[in-house]
Amino acid sequence: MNADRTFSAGRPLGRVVSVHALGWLVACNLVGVWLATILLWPSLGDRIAPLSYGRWMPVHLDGQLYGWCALPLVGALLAWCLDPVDPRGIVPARLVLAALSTALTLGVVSWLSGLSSGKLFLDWAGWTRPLLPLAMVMLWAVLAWQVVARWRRGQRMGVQAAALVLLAAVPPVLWWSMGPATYPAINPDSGGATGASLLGSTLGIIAIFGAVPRMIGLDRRPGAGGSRVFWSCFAVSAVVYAVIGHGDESHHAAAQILGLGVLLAWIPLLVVEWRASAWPWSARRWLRAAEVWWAGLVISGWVSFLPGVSERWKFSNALVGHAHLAMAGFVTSANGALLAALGGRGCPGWAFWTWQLGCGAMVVLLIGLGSIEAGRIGDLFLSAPWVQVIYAGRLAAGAAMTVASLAWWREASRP
Amino acid sequence: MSERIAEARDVWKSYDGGRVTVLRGVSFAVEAGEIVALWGPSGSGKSTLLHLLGGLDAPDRGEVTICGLSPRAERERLQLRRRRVGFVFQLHNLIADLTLAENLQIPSIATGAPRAETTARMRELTDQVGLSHRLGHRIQDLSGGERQRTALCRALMHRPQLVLADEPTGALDEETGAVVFELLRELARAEGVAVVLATHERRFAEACDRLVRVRDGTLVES
Repeated sequence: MNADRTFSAGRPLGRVVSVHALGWLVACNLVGVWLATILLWPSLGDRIAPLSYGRWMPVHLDGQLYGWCALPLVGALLAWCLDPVDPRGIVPARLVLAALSTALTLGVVSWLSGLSSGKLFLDWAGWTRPLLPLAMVMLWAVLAWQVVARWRRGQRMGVQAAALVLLAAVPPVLWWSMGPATYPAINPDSGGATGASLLGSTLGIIAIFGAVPRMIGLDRRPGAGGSRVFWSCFAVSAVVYAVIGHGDESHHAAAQILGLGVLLAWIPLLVVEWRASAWPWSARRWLRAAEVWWAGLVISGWVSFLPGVSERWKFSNALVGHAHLAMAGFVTSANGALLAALGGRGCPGWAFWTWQLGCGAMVVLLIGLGSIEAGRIGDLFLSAPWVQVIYAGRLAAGAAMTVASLAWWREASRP
Repeated sequence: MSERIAEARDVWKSYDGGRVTVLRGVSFAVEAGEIVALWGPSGSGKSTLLHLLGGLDAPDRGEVTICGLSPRAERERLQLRRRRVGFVFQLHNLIADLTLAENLQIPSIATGAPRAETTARMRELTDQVGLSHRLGHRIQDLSGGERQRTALCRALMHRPQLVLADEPTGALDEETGAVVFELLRELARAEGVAVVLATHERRFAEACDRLVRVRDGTLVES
C-alpha cells in the first residue's frame, strides 16, 4: 500500500467507518433474525403489535443498504478526498458518518412508527424524506472543502473534483426518487426490470468497485499494468447499454437478454482488475470470497432474467435469495476487503467462515424455496411442513450470520 | 333485550394531519342479529366508520366499544379483528393465486383453529353459498359473483359476532349484486351475527333492518 496516498490516520478512519457500518450490519441482522422468526412462528409477532412484519421490513432493507452496504463506500470517498498527511481530517469524517447514521436512525424510528412510502429501499416518506439527502449534502460539502483545500496546497485533485461534480447530483436524485409520483409503490403498468435497467445498475456497481482500489490508494502490483483494459471494456458495455431499448421492452426480446449477458464478461474482468492491486493481507480472503459471490451473482442474475425462469421466480423467495447473494454475499465480502484496506481490524477467522457458510446456506435455501413455491403458493400461506423446514434453516443461517457479524463488529470496535 | 355488539360514542376522525375531518361526533350502535345499512355517497365517511367499528383504526376522539371491549391498544384491536369481526370488501381482497379452500383456511391460521374444525366449517359455508364444487379452484378462475361469495364465507369462517361489509356489491352487476346481498342477509340471519353494511345503493339499504344516512361525517337515522 502506498503510504503517501493512504490516509495517514488510516486506522482511525478504518475504525470509525467499521464501527458505524458494522454496527448497522449487526442491528439489521438482528432485525432479519426477527423477521425470519415470525415467518416461522407468526403468532410471536402479536406480542409486539403494532410493530408488525411490515414495519420491521424497511428497517432491515434500508438499514442494510444505507448503513452496511453504503458506509464503507463513504469511507472510500473520505480516504480519497481527505488529506492523507493531515490527521485532523478524521474530525469531519466522524461528523459525516454520525450525520448519515443519525439520518438512518430517524428513518428507523419513522418506519417503526408506521410512516413509510411503501417503496422498497426508498421507504423515506413525510418528514423523513429530506434526512438522507441532507446528510449526503453534508458529506459532499466536507469532500468539496477537503478537495479545494488540498488543491490550494498544490496537490493534483482534478479527478476528485470531476467526481464531486457528478456526485452533486446524488442528493437531489435521491430526493426525487423518494417522491410518491416517482416509481409508485404499486405500479400495475410496470412488468418489472428490463435487461437494460439491470445492465445499467450493475455497470454502476462495477464502476464503483472497480474504482475503489485506486480511491483508497492501493498500489498496482508489479507487472499488472494500468486499468486501460478495464475502463475500455466498461466504455463498450456502456455503449451496449445505450443502444439496447429502454422503457417498455419485453424481457423476451433478444436484445435485452443478450445485452444483460454482457455482464458475464465482467466476471473475469472485475476479478483481474481487483487482483491487479496490492491489497493488504487481511483483505485477501474477503476479496476471494467477493470474487466467488460476484460470479454467482452475475450468472444467477442472468439466468433468472431468462424467459420461463423470470416468470417463475418473480415475486418469489428466489429473488429474495438473489438479493441476499448480492448484498450479504458479494457486497459484504467486497466491503470486508475495503474495510481491511482502510485500516479496520480484520474479522476473526471463524466469524469469516461462519458468515460465508451461513450466507451460502441462506441463498441456496431461498432460491430452492422460490423455485418450488411458484406451483405451490398455498403451502407458503398455510405453513406446510416442508416450508417450515426451509424457514427454520433460513433462521439458523441468519442467526449464525448475526453472531459472526457481532464478533466482527466487536473486533473492529477495539481501539 | 338484545346484546349490543358494537358502539361508537361521539367519535371524531380526521386524516392528513387534521386537515380532512371525516367523522364529526358520530354516535352509532348495532345489536346482535341486526342488519344495519350505512347509506350515503362516496366520501361521506361510511368506510371510516366501518374501520373504526372493526378495530382497523382508532378514533381521534370519542369511544368505540366492540363486543363489550374498548380496544385502545393495537394488540387488543388485533385480537378483536381475529376473533370477533369479519370483513367483506368491495374488491373481495382474496389472494388470487390461492385456491378457494386455501383462502378460507387463512383466518384459521390467525385464530389457531384445529384443521378438522376448519375443514368442516369450510364445507358448511360453501354448501350454503353453492360453492362446494369450486373448493380446489384458484380465485383467478372464479367469476366476480363467486369471488364475492367466497369473501362472504371467509368473513364468517371464524364465527364472528360482527360482520362489516364495505360496498360488497359495488363491483358487481345488478343481478349478481342482488344474489350476494341476499346471501349476506341469509347467512347473517342463520349465524345470528350483527351486520353493518356500507352502501350507496338505496335498494339494498332499504332492505336492511335499519337504515342510517351518512352525510358529511354525520349520521341521520331514517
